[in-house]
Amino acid sequence: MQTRQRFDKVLIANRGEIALRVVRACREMGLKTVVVCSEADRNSAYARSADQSVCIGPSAASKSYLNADAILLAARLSGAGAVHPGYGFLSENARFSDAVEKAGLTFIGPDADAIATMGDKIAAKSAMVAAGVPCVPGPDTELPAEPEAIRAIAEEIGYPVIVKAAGGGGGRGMRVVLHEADLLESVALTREEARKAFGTPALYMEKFLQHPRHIEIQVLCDTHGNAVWLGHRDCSMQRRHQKVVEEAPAPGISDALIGPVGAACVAACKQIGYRGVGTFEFLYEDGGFYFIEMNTRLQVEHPVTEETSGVDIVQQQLRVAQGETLSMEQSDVTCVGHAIECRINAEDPATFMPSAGVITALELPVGEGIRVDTHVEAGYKVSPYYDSLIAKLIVHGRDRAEAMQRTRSALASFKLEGIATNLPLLRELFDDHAFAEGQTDIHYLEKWLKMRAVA
Amino acid sequence: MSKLDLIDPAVIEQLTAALQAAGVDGIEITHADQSLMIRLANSGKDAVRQVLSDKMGAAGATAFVNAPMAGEFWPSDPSRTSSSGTSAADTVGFLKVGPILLPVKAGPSKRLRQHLVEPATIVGFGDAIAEVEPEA
Repeated sequence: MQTRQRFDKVLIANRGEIALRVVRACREMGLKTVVVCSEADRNSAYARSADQSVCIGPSAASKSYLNADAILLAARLSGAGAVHPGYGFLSENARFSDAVEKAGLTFIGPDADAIATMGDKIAAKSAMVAAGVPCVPGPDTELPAEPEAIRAIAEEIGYPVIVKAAGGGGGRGMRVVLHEADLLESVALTREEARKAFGTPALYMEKFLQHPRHIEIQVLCDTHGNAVWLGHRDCSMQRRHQKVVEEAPAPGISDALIGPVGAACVAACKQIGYRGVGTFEFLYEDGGFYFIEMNTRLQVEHPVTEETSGVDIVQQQLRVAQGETLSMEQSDVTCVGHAIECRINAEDPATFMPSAGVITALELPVGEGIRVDTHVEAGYKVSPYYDSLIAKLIVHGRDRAEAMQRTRSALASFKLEGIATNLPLLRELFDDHAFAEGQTDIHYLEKWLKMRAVA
Repeated sequence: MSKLDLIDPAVIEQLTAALQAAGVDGIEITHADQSLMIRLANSGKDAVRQVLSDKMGAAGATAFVNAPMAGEFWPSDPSRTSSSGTSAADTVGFLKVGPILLPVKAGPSKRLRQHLVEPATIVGFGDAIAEVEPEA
């Protein structure tokens, strides 16, 4: 159903490749764009690619990309009718979503209530249990204070268990407990860390899975009660909880196995009245899926789903925000072939220290099935202020073997000089036999790096 | 207590809200390198906030006044006709964002030499909007 446009100008409250990605989607839909930037980014070519760019503050993210007031002033100044938060920064900030809406603008993402619910891990798990989404064994309630009660919960779950901060995320605020003897001290330490880091001492406890894979399901929901899932991704190749390589679909997961999980995610979205795009993250072990969290925003790795499903996820976000009804039903969603994304980071491939400086030469790979999402060019100055992601190499093939081979070729021809990047590490990783076979777990890369360091 | 950043829009918003809530007409805060003056007129509905952002060069040299926040630049108060009032002598222009009008000052013992942007131009944080020189 076509509805009257709610906005014709979008302010992009982000930077780098995702800002450019949103500009592209807006342009293809005839929407004007405003990019906000910090002093460090004000002379970047990508900022000038928008119809308008507004410098909103100093280089430090806290004074610019995390400064909600400055962003809202820029929206008012530029006449933007909507705000796209991208990923990171304020994208999962319920107060920002609320402030945007209260300013009379459209927040291109879920409402504040949905963000707040999913940001609280206990509330999120409770909502998922209610919707029939499979969760990690453990109560969907806050851990009590009484030592005996804590011991009883751990005993019922079975060791090893993991103690997590309710307000945590991104791999922070959690502790694995292997034996009962370590339980109470671990709980006390995690509670104190949670109080300091997340402002709440609330904890919860779950079964610790020892060799899981990280599988996620992409959903897309409109404001009229319609929702679909766009297939699944495997993001198990991680270092310190940061994804390095992502692929779609997850290798070795049959449609029959994941189909009910995808359907449960859709049901959960409808139940909580979710709008926009979102990602349900699961641990997968021994044929079972266990919900860990929902990301209420666009993911860095959304392109692999775009390549397999043929759906432009950013454009869909914009259409949903305009109030349009989804143009597809679940039966229309078909995923074809295999896609892989490599995150190209400005960092030393051995020490992983960030590498700032000027890119002196850049030649991007080209060819069938190859896409590069990047905001950098020769002469671009990589700033020390922000995340080290400078490009995403996305490769699509008829099957995983073809996608892997194309990725190897693309990595070999990817030339970037002037700063250190993780390209050498990625080239080595794609020659690894076990990775090529598929189905490696979330600990594989860390082990591989240790072995590589010893060799 | 950490030092307030007087050109941070969030700080200006919070201070304005606090003044309105307290029924106070205005406040002036001065640091070594920044000054902020907020005056509330008409029961706080039309806040006039005045920033003295001085990051200027040594006395005796010309210097640039940079925009302390993003806004639409006006060399004079756009809400006043030329005969209805004048701006303070050391005001080099105004930044307008919706109902907010932010006078931008030349700084102590400085006067306007020339504007560097046209009226109604949208400027960003840090953009040079005027060149100033020492008062004779």
